[in-house]
Amino acid sequence: MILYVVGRLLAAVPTLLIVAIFIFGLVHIAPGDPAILIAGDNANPEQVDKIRERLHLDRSLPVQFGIWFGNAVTGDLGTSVYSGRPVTELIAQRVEPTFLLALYTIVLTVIIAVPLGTIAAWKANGWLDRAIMGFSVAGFSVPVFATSYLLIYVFAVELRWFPVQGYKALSKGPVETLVSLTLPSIALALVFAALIARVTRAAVLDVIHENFVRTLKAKGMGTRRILVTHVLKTAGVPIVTVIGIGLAALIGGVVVTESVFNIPGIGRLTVDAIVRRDYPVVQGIILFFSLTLIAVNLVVDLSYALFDPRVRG
Amino acid sequence: MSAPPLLKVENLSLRFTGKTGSLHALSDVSFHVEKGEILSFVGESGCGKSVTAMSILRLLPRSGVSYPTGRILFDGADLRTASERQMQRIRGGRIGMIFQDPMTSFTPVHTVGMQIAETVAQHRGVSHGQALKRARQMLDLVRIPDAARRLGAYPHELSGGMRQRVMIAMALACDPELLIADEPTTALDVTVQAEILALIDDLRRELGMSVILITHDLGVVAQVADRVMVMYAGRIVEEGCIEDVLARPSHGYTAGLLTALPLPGPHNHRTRLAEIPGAVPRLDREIDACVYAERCAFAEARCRSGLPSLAPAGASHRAACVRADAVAAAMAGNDIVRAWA
Repeated sequence: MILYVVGRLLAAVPTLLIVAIFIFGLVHIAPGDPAILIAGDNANPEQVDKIRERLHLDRSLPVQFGIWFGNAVTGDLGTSVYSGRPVTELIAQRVEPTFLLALYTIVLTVIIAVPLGTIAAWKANGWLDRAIMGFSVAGFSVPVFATSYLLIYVFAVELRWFPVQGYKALSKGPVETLVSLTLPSIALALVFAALIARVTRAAVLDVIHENFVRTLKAKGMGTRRILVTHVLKTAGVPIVTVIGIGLAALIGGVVVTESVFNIPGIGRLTVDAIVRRDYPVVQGIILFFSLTLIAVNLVVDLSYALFDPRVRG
Repeated sequence: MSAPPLLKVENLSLRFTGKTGSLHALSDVSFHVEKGEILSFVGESGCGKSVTAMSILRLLPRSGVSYPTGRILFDGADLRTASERQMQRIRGGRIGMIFQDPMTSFTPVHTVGMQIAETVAQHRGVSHGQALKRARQMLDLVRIPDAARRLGAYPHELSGGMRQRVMIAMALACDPELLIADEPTTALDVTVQAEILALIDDLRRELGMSVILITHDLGVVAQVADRVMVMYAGRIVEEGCIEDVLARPSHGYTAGLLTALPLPGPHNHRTRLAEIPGAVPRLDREIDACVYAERCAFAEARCRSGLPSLAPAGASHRAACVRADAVAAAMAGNDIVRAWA
């Protein structure tokens, strides 16, 4: 078990290195001289040279990479060209709403999707299965912003249960935060629930006809225990994989939802940075997303061992 | 034999239904199991022996199977019409079942200890700790060395024979009165087969339970069964005490099975094994002749007109064969029959 964990951790190192090289290369692949770009249109050649020197752009590529990588490892991702503030600080400010929104969404998704997918598989091809899968197609087909506006109209404007927009920071009380994130989480959860319900149904169907299910029935176990304790755990690996992919995608890709609900998260920061050609910030965000993805994958990999003893090796 | 039988099945019939029609999977199957005896179902694949066993515990899928007719009296109560709740208490509680393939019959992601213990907890309502203690006792009972450590093993960490022992331990953990063993040795090495059979035989004596042993291997039957029931095409064709049936086989199909067995001895290993010509009849229509007539070495014209019913062929021996006497006479020279006669 410990060997497995260490192995997984070591396997993440080359991935991280490749990501770092790619991100470093990004600035050099991008058209134009970064120094000129940063200096702006009215700068004279001395100013540009100064910037070049400050950014070590006059050194050879490997040396530049070494400096950049060394800084990145110590948490220094440079400063924003637009605001002049450290990139790490900018990202850190935006992490809270995005992470909480992603976590809240995933929790809602799992609560909705895993039971529905399991029931659909258990009643495969019956009316309940058809109804659940129909709901799943609908959930996946309607764009997030459309459900978002519908949810805002019904639950914020008409019923006034939730605020229309905005985010309340955790420091002002966790209940407020949860309330402010409920509608965006539901909007996102509907899409992801559709996906995860499908995967759960397929994974459970794969397992439910195996011989061990017959054994469980023959020893008098009830349907619920068979499905939850035995079938779902056996079918767990593909389900957890997709949940992990969903979580990573949520942390990286909730731009639309953050815009609709006016949440100051990473998605908004990304859009702003791209629009302003703020390369250090874009670089920093990509690195942050990559790290998140690697971390989520690592957790998913480790959870395999929790589900399936055969993985532990 | 004054005590009523533990299990009495009467006129059990059932069909498999599909888009293309229905198959008569079981036709008019009647038999009983006495307390403490081993009754063996014998026949080739598809003859209905497993279906009979599965319908006792009502484990057949609901789709594609017609509701059975007949009665399945277990200790006086009809399991065919029992509620699902009652069935759940009987399964694993009063009737245990073990299956052919010990590789795939366990949940792969739980320890074997947990899988035995949960059965005990389900039926006895005891704590997890007590259930685990019982699981340990059971592993000792089925002669698994180092039982305490094996409790924490996952199914893939055990050998096939070991897994089948655990399967038996699990089926017997709640002291069932009846054990149904569906081809328990088929997936195992020959040497392990003999050990498992001996274990089942020992345990039924120790625990005083009845056993239904399903097999296609007459050698297995001869080794442990008290009575044997030969099935063919969803029907019982011959049934009786092992001594009677093997000493005086009275159905063409039983004779065919006995003739097809390989015999030990230096002079036999180069001779070609006998086989039964032809194939099993189609079961998608009512049959009004002997089901075996088309393949039978003893068949006459009258075998093809009218279905023979099970008729006495000895003191506790019945056969559905109009040529019973001729079969018995012709088989008198067979090595196995001579050994039992």
